[in-house]
Amino acid sequence: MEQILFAILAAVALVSGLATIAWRSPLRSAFSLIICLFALAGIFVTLLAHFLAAMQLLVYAGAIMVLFVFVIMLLDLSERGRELQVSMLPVLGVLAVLAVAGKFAKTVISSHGLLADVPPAVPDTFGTIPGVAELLLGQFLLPFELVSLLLLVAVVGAVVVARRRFWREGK
Amino acid sequence: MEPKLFAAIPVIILLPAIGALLAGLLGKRWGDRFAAVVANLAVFSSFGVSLYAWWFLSNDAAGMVYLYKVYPFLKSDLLDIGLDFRFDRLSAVMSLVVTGVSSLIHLYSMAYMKGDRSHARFFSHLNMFVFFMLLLVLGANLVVMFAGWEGVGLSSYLLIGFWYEDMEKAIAGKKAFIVNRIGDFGFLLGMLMLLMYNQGSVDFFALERFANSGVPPVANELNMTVICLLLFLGAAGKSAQLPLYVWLPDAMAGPTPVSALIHAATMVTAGVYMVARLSFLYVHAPIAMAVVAGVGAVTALFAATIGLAQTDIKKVLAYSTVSQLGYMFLAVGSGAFAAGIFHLTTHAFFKACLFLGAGSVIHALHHQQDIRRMGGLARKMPVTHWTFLISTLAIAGIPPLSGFFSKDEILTAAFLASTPFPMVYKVFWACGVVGAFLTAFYMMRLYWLTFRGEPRDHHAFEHAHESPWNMGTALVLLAGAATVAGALGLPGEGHLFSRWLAPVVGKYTLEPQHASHLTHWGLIGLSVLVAVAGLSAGLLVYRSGPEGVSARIARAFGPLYRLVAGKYFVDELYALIVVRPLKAVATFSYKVVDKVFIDLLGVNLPAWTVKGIGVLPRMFHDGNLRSYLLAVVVGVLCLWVVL
Amino acid sequence: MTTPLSWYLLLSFALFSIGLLGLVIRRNLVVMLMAMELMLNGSNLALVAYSRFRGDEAGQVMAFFVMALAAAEAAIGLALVLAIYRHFKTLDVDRVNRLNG
Repeated sequence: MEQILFAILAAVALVSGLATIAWRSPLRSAFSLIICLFALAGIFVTLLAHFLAAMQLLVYAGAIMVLFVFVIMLLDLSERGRELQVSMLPVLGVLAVLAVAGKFAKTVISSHGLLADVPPAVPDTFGTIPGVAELLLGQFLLPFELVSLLLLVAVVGAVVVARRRFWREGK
Repeated sequence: MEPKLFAAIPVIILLPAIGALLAGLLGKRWGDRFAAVVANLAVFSSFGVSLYAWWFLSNDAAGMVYLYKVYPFLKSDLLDIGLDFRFDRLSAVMSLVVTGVSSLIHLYSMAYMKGDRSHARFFSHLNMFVFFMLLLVLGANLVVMFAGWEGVGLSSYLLIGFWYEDMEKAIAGKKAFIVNRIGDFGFLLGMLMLLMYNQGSVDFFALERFANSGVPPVANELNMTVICLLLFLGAAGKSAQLPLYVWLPDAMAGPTPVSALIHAATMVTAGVYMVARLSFLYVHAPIAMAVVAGVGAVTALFAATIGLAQTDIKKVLAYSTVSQLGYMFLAVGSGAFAAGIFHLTTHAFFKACLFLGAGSVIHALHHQQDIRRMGGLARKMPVTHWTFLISTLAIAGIPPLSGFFSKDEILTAAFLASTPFPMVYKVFWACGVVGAFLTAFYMMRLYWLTFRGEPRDHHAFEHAHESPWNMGTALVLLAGAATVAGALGLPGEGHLFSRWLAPVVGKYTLEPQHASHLTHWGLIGLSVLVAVAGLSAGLLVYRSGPEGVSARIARAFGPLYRLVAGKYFVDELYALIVVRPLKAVATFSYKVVDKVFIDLLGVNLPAWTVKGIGVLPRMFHDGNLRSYLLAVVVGVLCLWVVL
Repeated sequence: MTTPLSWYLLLSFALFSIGLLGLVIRRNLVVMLMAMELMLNGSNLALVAYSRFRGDEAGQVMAFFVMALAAAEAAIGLALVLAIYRHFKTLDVDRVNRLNG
């Protein structure tokens, strides 16, 4: 049962992931990516990471992807020109990526016996808000605060970079 | 005697500088008239202040020297050189001659240069010349003098090439500058040697004290000779003596007032002034004195022969100037410094007058300078004619005009010079006497062909006219000075000029050998005889115009005549032995050293190498984000495989 | 029957590789950013899977940090996309090549 669920979700994630990079229209790519993120959220649930699954939906699908879609609409990038073109560069790229993927697969397959097939038993709080929060606000308090600082910097940076005047003066 | 401070000295110098600045900077905006008036005012007032200073000096004690120290501009353990001015009896004479003659020539230029496009530039440069000339004669040490020396060279260059659109004139200016540079090199070396031996000071007081102190190594005669010869090389360049005289005839490319002022009356006499100023050095070097006298005597004769065959009115006068400068050097080389300065003064008057007269003729004939196409101008231009005649007689040495006294004194000094080489000086004297004969001859030729006889170019003759009043005034005043200046130098006790200069050069003047009254009167008689003979010979040969007797003589002495008319082909000789090798070296440097070694091997080869090596890495830097990404992926892959 | 860890890892690597492929072959900057999100998610999956199979929640915390980082990256990245588009009037990285040596 769980394996079937995983298989379905994994298939959805892979197909939508491929679709993300395959669509010519950025808007379609964005929606494919959202589907992929939803599927991953499902997989997170099968791994008992409930909090993270919720975050995946809220932050990724809800916030980040909205930003993407917003920019795409703002710049009106849909359906513009031939996206793929035949040249040495993409071919080399595909080869390199295939090599990377092959290396990954080989690593996983060759270490088959070393990887656990059955997950250990865990307490009920595993992956819930209290469970994660205890770590997040305890052992990882400093990184947590630093992340909030990072986000602040990112917001300010984004405002500055996107402003018109910044580039005009820079010239 | 303690020198006094005297604030009028910088005023004399600064007035022409201010004039030059005003005329140069504002002349374009406020008009030619303004520039001319400002320049004239500046020089005339400078002359006035010079007179005032002279008056003070003449009422002061005999050996008085006025000083003005502006500021010590090089002062250290090794050097002590200040921007100092000195007004003593020698400087007084020089500054009076310079400002006086300059004033008259400025006045003359107002008419002569009327209508020229660069009126303001002309007056600005002329004033600048006067400024530098005054710096030269009033400098209290060799460095200030050298600054003036270079400055007059610059002014001379600018004014010779005044009409710079004419390539030939621009080249003449360049030639003057470059030939002078050879001389200046000698001056500089001599000055540096003096700096070395005299503990970093070249002040005239310090030099005089040291030269007389007898302390080695300055008292060492060889050193002294070398220093004096080096300095004389500078003098020979500036004063157009053999072998550096070649620039002066070419310098006639400048406007005629410039020729009169710079290339006859003042700048070219700077060398004579320098030798007289440094008389305390030269007396310690008899060999150098003999060289000075010898170069002077030979130049006097040599230039006079060239003057015989020239047909350009200004070229004749130019060679005459070279010749007369030779007499001045003969004088100072014979130890008669006062006589040299005296001839300098009288020459300034009559030669300036001759040049201005020539300018007047050229002006009247619309820039015709060939004396073969003149003639008969006496009727048309009485003022010019009479002043020219007076000056001609003066330069020929007819008593009682000034040239007679000064030239006779020089010849006497050379004949009776008390040196270790009396016989050599007799030869110099002979050169001088022959030169005097030739001088009288070519001057009569010039005078007769220009003013007397029948007009040979009727068209030009019809249009000829007397020059305006300010040109005439200058001519008359200069001719008057040329007439009466001899009174300053009556032989014997009445010689006001040498009495005036005695505090400066008297100590170093070599007493002539004792000679009987008969010898003295004989020499005087000989001078007169030579002058009269020269004039008569000139009259006989040229009375019939350029085609008569003279042409037959020229044919009779065919090769000799061509040699003289071709100026002994010295320019061609220099071109062969100096200019051609230099050009070859320059071409070699350009084509091989510069093109191959520097451009090719030194600059382009490293550049090409770097560029060639850069081709490969450049391919990776195509600015494309994706290829950078690909490189990252490949790099990660490689690391992964290796680890 | 539970899913073995290796399956999760394979899926994780597959997503990462797809993201990398997109990054290398696409020319549109926005799509490239999305491909990067895909790669981040792939690695997130590995973190969460290990967290489950080791019974250690720290892996989830890491994944949480990665998400925060992804948010920051998206904000800055999209701001840059806006600026680049304004400047070059295109988002084609082949044409945004002013650093061409």
